[in-house]
Amino acid sequence: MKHIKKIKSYSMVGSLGLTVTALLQGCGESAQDSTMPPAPESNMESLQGDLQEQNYFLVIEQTGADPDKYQLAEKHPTQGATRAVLRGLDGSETILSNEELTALAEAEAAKVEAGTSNLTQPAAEASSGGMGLGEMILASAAGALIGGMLANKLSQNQNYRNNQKANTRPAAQVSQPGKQRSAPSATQKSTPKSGFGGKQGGSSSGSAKSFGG
Amino acid sequence: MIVTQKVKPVSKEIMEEVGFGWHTDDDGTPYIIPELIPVTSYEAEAYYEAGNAIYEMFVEAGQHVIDNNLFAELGIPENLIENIRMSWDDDDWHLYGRFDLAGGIDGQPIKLIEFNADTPTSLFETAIIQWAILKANGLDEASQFNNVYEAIRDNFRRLITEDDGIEKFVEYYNDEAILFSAVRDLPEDEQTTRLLEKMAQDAGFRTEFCYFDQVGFLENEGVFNENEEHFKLWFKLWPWENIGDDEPELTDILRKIALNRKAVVINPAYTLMFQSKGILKVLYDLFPDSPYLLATSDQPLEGIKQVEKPVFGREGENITILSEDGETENSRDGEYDHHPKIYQEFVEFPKDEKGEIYQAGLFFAWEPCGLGFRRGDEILDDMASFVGHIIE
Repeated sequence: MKHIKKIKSYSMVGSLGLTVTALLQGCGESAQDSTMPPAPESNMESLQGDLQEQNYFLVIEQTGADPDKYQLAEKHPTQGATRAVLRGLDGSETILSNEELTALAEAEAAKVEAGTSNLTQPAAEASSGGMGLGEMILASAAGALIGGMLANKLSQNQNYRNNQKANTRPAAQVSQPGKQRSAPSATQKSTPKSGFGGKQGGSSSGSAKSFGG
Repeated sequence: MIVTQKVKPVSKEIMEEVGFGWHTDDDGTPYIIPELIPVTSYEAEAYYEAGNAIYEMFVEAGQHVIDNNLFAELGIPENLIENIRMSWDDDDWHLYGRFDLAGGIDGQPIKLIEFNADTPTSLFETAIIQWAILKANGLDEASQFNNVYEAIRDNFRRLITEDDGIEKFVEYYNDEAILFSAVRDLPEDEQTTRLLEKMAQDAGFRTEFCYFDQVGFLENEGVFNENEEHFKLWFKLWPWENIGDDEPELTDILRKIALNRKAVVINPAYTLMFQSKGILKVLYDLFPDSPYLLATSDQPLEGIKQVEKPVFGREGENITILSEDGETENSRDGEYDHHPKIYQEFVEFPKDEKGEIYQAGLFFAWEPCGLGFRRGDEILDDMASFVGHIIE
């Protein structure tokens, strides 16, 4: 019986995981990426989040080749631009920039407009066992990538919604507790005063490099 | 003999981008060594088992200290005793700590050196940087005993759910915000605090950060940031013993805030009992047969090589290694000499061919959750380096 746990997904190093991976691949933009405060995450709420142009860090895994199939492995809200790690069948990882994701999403959106995208086919007719890359990306983060209007139009399509629901539920997802609420107003009757008397707590004028150990 | 595996370093630029600015020691040498210590699955599992067993002993020892009023023996300032008792009786949640251990690799048995239970650092390098080394070298990221980030994130949720299970967080969370504070102008402490803040955000908390000199307190209402926003939860990366010694007025306010149940401090005051090396004697008194404990006393030990340490001290300061005849073999000066001393049986650490020693740091957040190593001279000081590991 083994007890120790090992890093096995990006969620285990938080949003810094993507930043490190992106930087290692020379994609340093938006390095000060950080996760968003709590956001709702059920499927429909997720779509509504997309419509509000919530940005995401996606981890997309290739599940099959010829034709290439993909599934969403992880999905984390982020304050940075929407980006993705594409994990190939051989375990290799490629960062997809926001521009690349947008181009793929727009191409898929054009297919949606033309009625040729699997996303707007009934789920039974759409191919099973994963989606094409463009389909996956558009279904995962439509709002963030192609803007609210087209995403909104997509969301009116029942087949799109069924496909999105069936195919983009990530295998690993940081749980997102309830919606962020506004801060309660403090009810202090007098002004709080700092308890620090100006020694080490107020500054690092001493020789210490760290108060940790 | 420890033989490390040479790897490609993570560039300084990348480390700085993610907030890890203290990658180079004052003498210009790298703090993060581009090497990995091979650890077997069996060894990693043994560290995990040891961490759980040792933590359980600490809990029993803590109760023993409280029941027998042994605070003076632990060097704990009198003005903190009530805070400690209240936080213990209220079961305030211990967020995280780090055991420093000898052995565990190279065939040597695991021995507890001390427990950094209150304000542990080395967090960034253990949780993030050693993982980044695996990524930078195309190594399997599952080959590391390291779920520190996830474990601490989940333990933040237990501040709300306690023993009911972290899946209850969504149901129980009622917008409690955490204020994070570190000392101004100490980048390591600030970035460690901000990393913890990020973990709390990932857990689902609303958070704010401000420096200690900006925090406000009202004994009947609690803790406030510089904008006079109220917080029920306050994380402070500043040692409790410093608060007690240097800030008596604040200590009294914190005592009243605790009495009025207006705020919970993280880590709780009782972690000062675990942090004090005085508890190593209590542990040995209670569990003399434990395979993880070294003989420890508040008086010099008879006829064995030993280490004299102040009950509170950092970075190897005021440590003296004494021969079995009581002669000083090695020592370091420092600013902690005024604290009471303990005497701990000397143990050899695993060494490499250059004679540098390796000390394991085992993070604990609800359970043991991550391993890292510090490398340096016989008395590890602030020039010691960090070395990551890989499970073979």
